[in-house]
Amino acid sequence: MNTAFSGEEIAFRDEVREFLVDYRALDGFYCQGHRWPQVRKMFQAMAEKNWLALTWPTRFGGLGRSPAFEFILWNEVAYARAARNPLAAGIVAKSIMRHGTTAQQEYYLPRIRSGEIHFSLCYSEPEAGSDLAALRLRADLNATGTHYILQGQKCWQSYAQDMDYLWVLARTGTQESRGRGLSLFICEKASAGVRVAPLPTVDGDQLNEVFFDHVMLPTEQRVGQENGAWPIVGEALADERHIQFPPGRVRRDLEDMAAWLNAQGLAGDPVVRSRMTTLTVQVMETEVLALKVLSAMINGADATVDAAMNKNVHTVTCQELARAVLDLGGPEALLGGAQPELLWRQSLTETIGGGTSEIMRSVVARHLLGLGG
Amino acid sequence: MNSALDFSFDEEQRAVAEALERFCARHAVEELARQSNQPFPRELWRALCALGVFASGAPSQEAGGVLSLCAICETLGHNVFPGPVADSFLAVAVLPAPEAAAVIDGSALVAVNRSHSGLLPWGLEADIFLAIDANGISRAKPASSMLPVQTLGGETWGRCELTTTALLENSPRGLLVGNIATAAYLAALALRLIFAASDHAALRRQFGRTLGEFQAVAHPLADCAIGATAARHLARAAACHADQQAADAEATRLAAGAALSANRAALAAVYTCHQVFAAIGVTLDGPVFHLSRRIRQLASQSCTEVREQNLLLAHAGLAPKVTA
Repeated sequence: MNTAFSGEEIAFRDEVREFLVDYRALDGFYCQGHRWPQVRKMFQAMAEKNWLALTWPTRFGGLGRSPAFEFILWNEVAYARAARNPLAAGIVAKSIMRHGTTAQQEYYLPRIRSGEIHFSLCYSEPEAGSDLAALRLRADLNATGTHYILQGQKCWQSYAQDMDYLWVLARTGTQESRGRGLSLFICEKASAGVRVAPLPTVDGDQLNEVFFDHVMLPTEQRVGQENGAWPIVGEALADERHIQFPPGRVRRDLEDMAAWLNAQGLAGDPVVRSRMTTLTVQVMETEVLALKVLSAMINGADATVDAAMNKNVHTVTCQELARAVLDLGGPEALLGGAQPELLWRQSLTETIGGGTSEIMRSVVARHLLGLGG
Repeated sequence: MNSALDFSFDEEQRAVAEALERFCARHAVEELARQSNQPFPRELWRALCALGVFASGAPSQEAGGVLSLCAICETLGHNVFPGPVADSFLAVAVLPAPEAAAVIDGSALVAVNRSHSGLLPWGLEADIFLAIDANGISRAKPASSMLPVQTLGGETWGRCELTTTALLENSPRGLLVGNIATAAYLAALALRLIFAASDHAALRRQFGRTLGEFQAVAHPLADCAIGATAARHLARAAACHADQQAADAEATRLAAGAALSANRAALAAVYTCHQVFAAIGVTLDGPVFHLSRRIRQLASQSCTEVREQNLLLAHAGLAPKVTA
């Protein structure tokens, strides 16, 4: 058993920390929509070190490192509040490596690796949130078989307003075929018929609706087999489990809340100390569960249950931190510009995005406890 | 060299755990936990000690000792083993060699006072007395006769006046080892309880479905499993760190967090699992009370001390408590 990083990994962590000195004020983690030009520049600076391709195989231009390096990178970036990990270099690129055509690999992978292009995931729809297999957006071949025609609507897409491409999950089979009737497509956001509309969110950022009105996509833009998207989506999710919910974010939340309570002169209050102790322990639980996910991935074990546990504790803890400080801090904590009130608003989304807490609990109940919840 | 992160026990630790499982089955250990008002099973305790389990975690142990202790405590917790399991590891870590040897071979039983009123688990049978307060671990000596007191309707403890001497030299290591041992025992016992309740929920049918098909039943059990699993990982991480870095600040912090985490998770499991068992769970000879009683007793003895609280909060950046 070993729960410590190697010397090489610690040296990399120190290198990342040094890199992030220039980005401490970036503040792109909570509300990336307000900081995208700066975040994009940071990703490009990372790309110069080939950090967007840390774990990619060397034949695709990557560094071929273990998932531990990716974890360390995005954990430090989260702690610095600089940004969230870009989906292009993760879910998109890894799916293209595994299931894309040679032409797709040659065109997209270098551009993703260099930080030139970025993607938004277009999965959820108004009637398909947690139940993704119910999605309705159609992709039908035209009469000549050269193009798919996309028709329908996506909903709650993160960062779509700023991204260059859309990673679209669409129905190519019958509605009854559920997950067996879905295909994946790469769609340039600038394509004719694509319209992105903002959905302002309670934290001051935005999600988006994405409308596809007779969007013509060449068949070459499909990734993987027709009706073969479901396992690709699952694999891609599994690829990213170790970096989706970096504990550095929660550790930083805890420290920021502690600093705010210090500034308010509340640190000595026994009620404050008792509640913050519980939350500090929860943060430690988040940290160890995240390492457990990473350990499972490194050792080739199934991380499904570990990841569900990690996601649940991580997201509940950041919500409870904010809730505690608003409970303990009185009306001062409500003031705009105060860290607690922003965390309170922002963290409301965390137990929803990336799989709701209910889904995570059902995964644990089913796979660990043998229950049909 | 790439990461070798791994949360599993090694072959030797697994072998020790499996041998202990067989030992517990052979001695029908769980049946003892079901009984109320029984004398302390001294012969069983001596048989356990004869296996040498309490030598793990002693200062003289080679690398891996605390992690072995963790594997042992998880197994004993899973089997609801009676007696001062965690406190014996604590005592071995803190006492001078001759007395530690007596604890290891079972010729001396330990009782640790954590209250302000000299309340001692297994105090009536104990030979060595220790006391823990905000400053650390001291040797203690009974200054009055030991009176029997019953706890949670089943286990007889002792109460007496105590005098304490100066702090023991290895007090920090004793606290660290005690926290890890308590966390490992409690987390494993909590998981045992959660799986028992889950097995029940998977079989018992109401309204035409198994209980486990209702999210109102399954999700609280999942939450409990998450909490207890996190506590178990924290205990293992603390043990791993203690073996690699001795009793440094990080190992101490992890151990304190593990103890608090396990305490919270185990108590949450008690209430949730009793609810799942419903009326079956509140019968004295039912499938759950002997587990929940042991959790409650151990949780009341484990560290919820200001010392651990201050340690964790200081690391999180909350200013030190200002005393009036």
